[in-house]
Amino acid sequence: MITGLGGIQISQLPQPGSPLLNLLFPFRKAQLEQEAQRCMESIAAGAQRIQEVGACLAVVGNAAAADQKMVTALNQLFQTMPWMGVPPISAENPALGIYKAMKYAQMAMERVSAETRPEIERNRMIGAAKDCLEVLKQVLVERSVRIDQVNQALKQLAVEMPSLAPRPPAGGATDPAMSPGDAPDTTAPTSGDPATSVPLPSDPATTDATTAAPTADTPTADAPTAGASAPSPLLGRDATRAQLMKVVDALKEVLRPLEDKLRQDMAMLTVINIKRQGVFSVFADLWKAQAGR
Amino acid sequence: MTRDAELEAVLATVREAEALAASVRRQIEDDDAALRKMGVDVDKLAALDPGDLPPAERHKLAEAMQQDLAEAQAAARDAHESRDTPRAAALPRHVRKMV
Repeated sequence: MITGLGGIQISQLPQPGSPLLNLLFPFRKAQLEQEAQRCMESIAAGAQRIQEVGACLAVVGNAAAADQKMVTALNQLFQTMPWMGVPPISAENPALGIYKAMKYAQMAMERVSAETRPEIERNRMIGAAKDCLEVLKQVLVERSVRIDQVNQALKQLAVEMPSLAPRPPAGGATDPAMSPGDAPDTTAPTSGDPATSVPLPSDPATTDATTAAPTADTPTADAPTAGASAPSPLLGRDATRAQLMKVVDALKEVLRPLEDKLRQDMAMLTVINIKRQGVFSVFADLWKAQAGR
Repeated sequence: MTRDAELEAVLATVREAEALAASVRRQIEDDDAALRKMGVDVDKLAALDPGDLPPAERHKLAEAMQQDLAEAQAAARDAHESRDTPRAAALPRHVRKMV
């Protein structure tokens, strides 16, 4: 004998003509609520994970947008100093463009020093080139910070994204004007004259700086090592736009199944709740009918 | 669709899902409150053990639950399979009414 319905035995509920399942209300109620609870927990977990991935995507997106702004601003700056001859920085590879620009600024200073201009004009031009170098060093540092933030966000996400490991481009053309290996350590700027910290190219006049691609030994920050258990930062300091977009695409791939699961949980929860409501209303009607007897 | 728009769309789904979960939670609480008002001891209801049911009723219970889950899973499959359709059509009709 089942008891417990507020002191009334199940057998006391209206039996004739009432579906047997209605008598199982307490159990169906419990089971359906349990199932609904499971769906709600799954939704909460999925929502949290999606928000984490979304936050990471936002960091990467911000880094890419900041790159774009930085490149535009620098190119505008170079236009105000045409005598330096700095080629426009490509948004596809901002770091390499900045290294090159540093070289050109350095070369411009050397060139102007040797020119027969009035001293006051030479000093003005050299000063402007030095200022430009400082700006370039600063934006490189800021970019490194943004890349670090991306790596940190990816690390916190602790998601497997092996396809993001930086791979040097195969057979990339070398740039005679600038080897990335020559890049100054922007994380620890020297206190001396910044211009002297950038080595000069051998023959800048023959350099096609705009078409140069990164060399195979493009430095990457802590490139993943084989057999390493902890995931290394995925992007190097000189990450290209393509690499950033690869991170975005990989995160989107992480997001897709999470969203699918969320939608499934929503559909399941809705159906379970409809069942629960149905069971409840039938029981409530029966209960009221019995109470009115 | 831009990358930002994609993310926004997913976050909108998250908000819908959280709203649905909150709504169901509220409904369960409201229904329990209604049961108490009717004089039903909800705590005792929850403490009932299906193992105490006679075998025939236990069997019916299992069947009912199996059917409930099958229908819920079918809805979930629908939602999954129609992933690439526009959002409004991606959920079964009865789900769209709820969300």
